[in-house]
Amino acid sequence: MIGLVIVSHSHRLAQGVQELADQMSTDDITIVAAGGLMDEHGAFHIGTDAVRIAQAIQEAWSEDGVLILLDMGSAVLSTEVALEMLPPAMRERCRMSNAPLVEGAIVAALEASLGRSLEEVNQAAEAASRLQKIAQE
Amino acid sequence: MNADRPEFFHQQDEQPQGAGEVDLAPNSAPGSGADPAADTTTVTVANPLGLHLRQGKEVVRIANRYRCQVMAQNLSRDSDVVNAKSILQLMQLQARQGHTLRLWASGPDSAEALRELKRFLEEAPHPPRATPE
Amino acid sequence: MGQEITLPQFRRWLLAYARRIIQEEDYLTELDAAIGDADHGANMRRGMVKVLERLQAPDDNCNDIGSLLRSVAMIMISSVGGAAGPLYGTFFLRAAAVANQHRSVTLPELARMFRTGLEGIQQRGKAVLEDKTMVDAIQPAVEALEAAAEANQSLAVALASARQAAKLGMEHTVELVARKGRASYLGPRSVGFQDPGATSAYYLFETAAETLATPAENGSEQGQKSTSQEPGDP
Repeated sequence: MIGLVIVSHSHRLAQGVQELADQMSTDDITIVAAGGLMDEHGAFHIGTDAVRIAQAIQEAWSEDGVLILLDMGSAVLSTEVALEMLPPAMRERCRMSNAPLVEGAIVAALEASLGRSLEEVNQAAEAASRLQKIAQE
Repeated sequence: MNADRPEFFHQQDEQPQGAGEVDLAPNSAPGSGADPAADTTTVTVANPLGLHLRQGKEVVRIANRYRCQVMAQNLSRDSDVVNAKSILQLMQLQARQGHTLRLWASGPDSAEALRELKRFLEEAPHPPRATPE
Repeated sequence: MGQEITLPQFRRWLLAYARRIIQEEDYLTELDAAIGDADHGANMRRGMVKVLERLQAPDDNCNDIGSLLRSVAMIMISSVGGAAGPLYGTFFLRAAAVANQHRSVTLPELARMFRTGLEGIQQRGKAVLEDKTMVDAIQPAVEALEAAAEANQSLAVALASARQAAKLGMEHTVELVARKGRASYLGPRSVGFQDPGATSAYYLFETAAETLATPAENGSEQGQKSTSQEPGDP
């Protein structure tokens, strides 16, 4: 069972996506949110924090790997820095997903709970970018 | 096997396990082009909210417990035929309460799979129920 | 030229850099407002306040240059945000790796630290010269340091030429079309504005020239106190 990490510039967005994704998965899947940037007073600002992302990866860690879903822009930079901080053996089992954050997390949570591999879950999540949302009446 | 498969079949993540592929023309009349060996049934979506995300999740879970391939089409929308083991494809059915779905299953345990899916979709008690694992 | 740059000098440099950024917050924000999110000043200030706090603590547990730079990197990574946080964080992390266990470094070693840091920024941000980014200030400065080291010049001369190269590079960003980051959305309309990232990067070399070429004063092992009016010991 792989683990999932949700990275967003917004603390609350990451938590919300985690909440949604949790609904789609089972208790044996660990989904950890790493959103926002904490200031010296403990308040969250918009931004991403590689240290928190690295901690989240460790929390979500599974030998089967960790899939990281992210919003955009510097979330990618911060996640790369986070991966650089991890031991190489761990880093090799982590993937950054190109999937859209919300849809990707929902799909990934379900696919992960079905016991799929890291690559399979990522492929399914990335396919979410082609999801047709509006019914063709 | 027919050549014209719904486009997103080609994009799809996993090749469902089980016997040969069910190949169906898009927007085909019910059953036409289906694997002749596939079992099939129709169901009416009972859930007042339709086949929403959480219910779709249960359908995917049920389908994945079987080795057979499971396909679905929303006849009320004349939708594409989708892989019922994929939540994304299932959501493409845009199925509402009262819509009629056709299900196909091909593989060793197809009859049981269809029976359980039909029961789930037609009873559809209270949506967020615990996963029977 | 056997001049060495010591741990207290590095601490003094980072303190000076942090103060300079805090002092220039509004200017950086103003530059960023023209072509970015108008948050570079506030983002950098947030990090630098923490750097100051950390470096002025009675014991910052940094006993070599590597660990000092690493602690600054971690602060920037986890408090600056935007692209600047991970990019500066990477710069300091990579430089720290070169200076691991060193309590002093020579000019060629300093050049290598900065070169390695620059490579980290480029690997991460995929920016090259003339993309209108911090690279436009850092790369010429690193090249100037390397040339000075090669020519056996003094630390003071080397750092002064690095500062000058960084300044010219920063000023040159005014003429450039942004090709990376938020400013690139503006395309040709980004011309005429100085890049805020190149500006905050220039301060690295400006403060380095002010602090790394002269030995730290006696008794300032922990770096200078921020204010002299503090109620000191009797």
